[in-house]
Amino acid sequence: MTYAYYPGCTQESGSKEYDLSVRAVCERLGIELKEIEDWNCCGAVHTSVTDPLLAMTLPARNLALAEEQGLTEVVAPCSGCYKNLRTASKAIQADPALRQEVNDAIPGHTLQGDVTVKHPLYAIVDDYGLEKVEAEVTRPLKGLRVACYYGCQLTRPRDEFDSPEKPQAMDRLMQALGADPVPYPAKTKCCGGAVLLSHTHIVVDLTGKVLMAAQKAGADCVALACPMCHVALDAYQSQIERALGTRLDLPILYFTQLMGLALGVDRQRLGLERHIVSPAPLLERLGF
Amino acid sequence: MAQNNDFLGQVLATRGGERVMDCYQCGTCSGSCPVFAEMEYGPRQIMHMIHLGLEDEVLSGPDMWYCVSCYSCTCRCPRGIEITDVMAALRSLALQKGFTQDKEAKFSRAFAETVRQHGRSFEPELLARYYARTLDLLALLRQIPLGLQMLLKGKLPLLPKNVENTRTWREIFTPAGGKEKKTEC
Repeated sequence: MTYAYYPGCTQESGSKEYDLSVRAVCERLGIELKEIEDWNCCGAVHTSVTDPLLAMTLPARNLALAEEQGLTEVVAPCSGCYKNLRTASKAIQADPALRQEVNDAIPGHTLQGDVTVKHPLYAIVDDYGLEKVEAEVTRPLKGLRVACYYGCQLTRPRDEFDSPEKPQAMDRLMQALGADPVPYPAKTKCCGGAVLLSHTHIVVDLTGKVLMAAQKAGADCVALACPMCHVALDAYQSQIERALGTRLDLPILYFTQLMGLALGVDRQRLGLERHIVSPAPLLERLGF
Repeated sequence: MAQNNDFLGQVLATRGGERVMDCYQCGTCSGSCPVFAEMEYGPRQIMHMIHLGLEDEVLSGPDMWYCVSCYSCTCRCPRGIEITDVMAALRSLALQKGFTQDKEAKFSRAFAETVRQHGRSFEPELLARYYARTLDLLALLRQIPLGLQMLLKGKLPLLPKNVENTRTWREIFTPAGGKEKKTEC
């Protein structure tokens, strides 16, 4: 299995631990990731405000670069990047006139064929297969109660990979790793990350509701698959605690970090020390 | 109808805005919106205001800048309207018409400028551009403790990582892009 790998901007800074753990886990499973050379920002939700065509051209340049490397399937670990790349890929496949318009606007590159886009969660669960993952587990996460947090753009807008209202893939993956996913009502509620700096009070409110629901369900930690969600749940957790007047102390881990632990990947390669809310006491309790 | 109603025509011409006339005002969008309480009108009323051509009221309002792009409304709309994309289109129209006061409008421009410059995001420059636009010193001061924590954890980069050829890259930001320009030369 070989995919073009689109890291996305935060994987080089704020969420380096996600990048490290995605690469380490894929290597462990024999999934080959070839980084797209000279990739650019997908535009997030902000860039296209200045020019709507950028919502197509910025992702499409990355798809064209993958195609030039002879690859036709891209994985993007940030839910936001994934949504942008996937949306542009589908829109361009469906509309030859749009393809022409987009190609005319990308300097130096042309997207000729169809390049599809997947999130690594679904590449692992659907393409690689849960049974095969389970067979590779060497250190089951026994006794770990995990609140799986999908947020918005991993499953929305609607797609064939999972339900936008009741997604299951991460819960099933955690089960395969030996952990206990806890049911709670906020797994698809938004963290507000899109307006993190401009309207911070929204993030405090929305993320606070997610964290409170996870805590109430008895979760030891939250597993997630998006760097923006991670900033909101991890880095802003102390602000949320102050606003709510309660102590949360919930470690927020990328699903690939938990996979790495269960698959016996060297801990040094998982970036577990990079979180603001330290998972060290929890990991110690679990014997890691 | 579009011919007599400029604003409606403009929205209908955007990507995702093609089907706004299908809205039958059921309110599922506003009921699903996690930031409805922050908004002045909410998505259902915004849809109606688009139908009525209330351009200034919609574009000068704060609602689309509060939208968190979570796609809850889009996924639940019984008429299949891409409401989240309509909100994005409204942000874009607002900016075009000079409604740039919301902090999220300033953030969007700061983000686009940073990406145009480097090809990728570079947080220190993004923050500098954003706070230069908002002049919100109190908010900046409040960010300092978290900023330091993130710096210590290696979560804030000190140097930008650019695409290989930033001059060619920037042509993607000019209308009609690089290729057409080259054939003109």
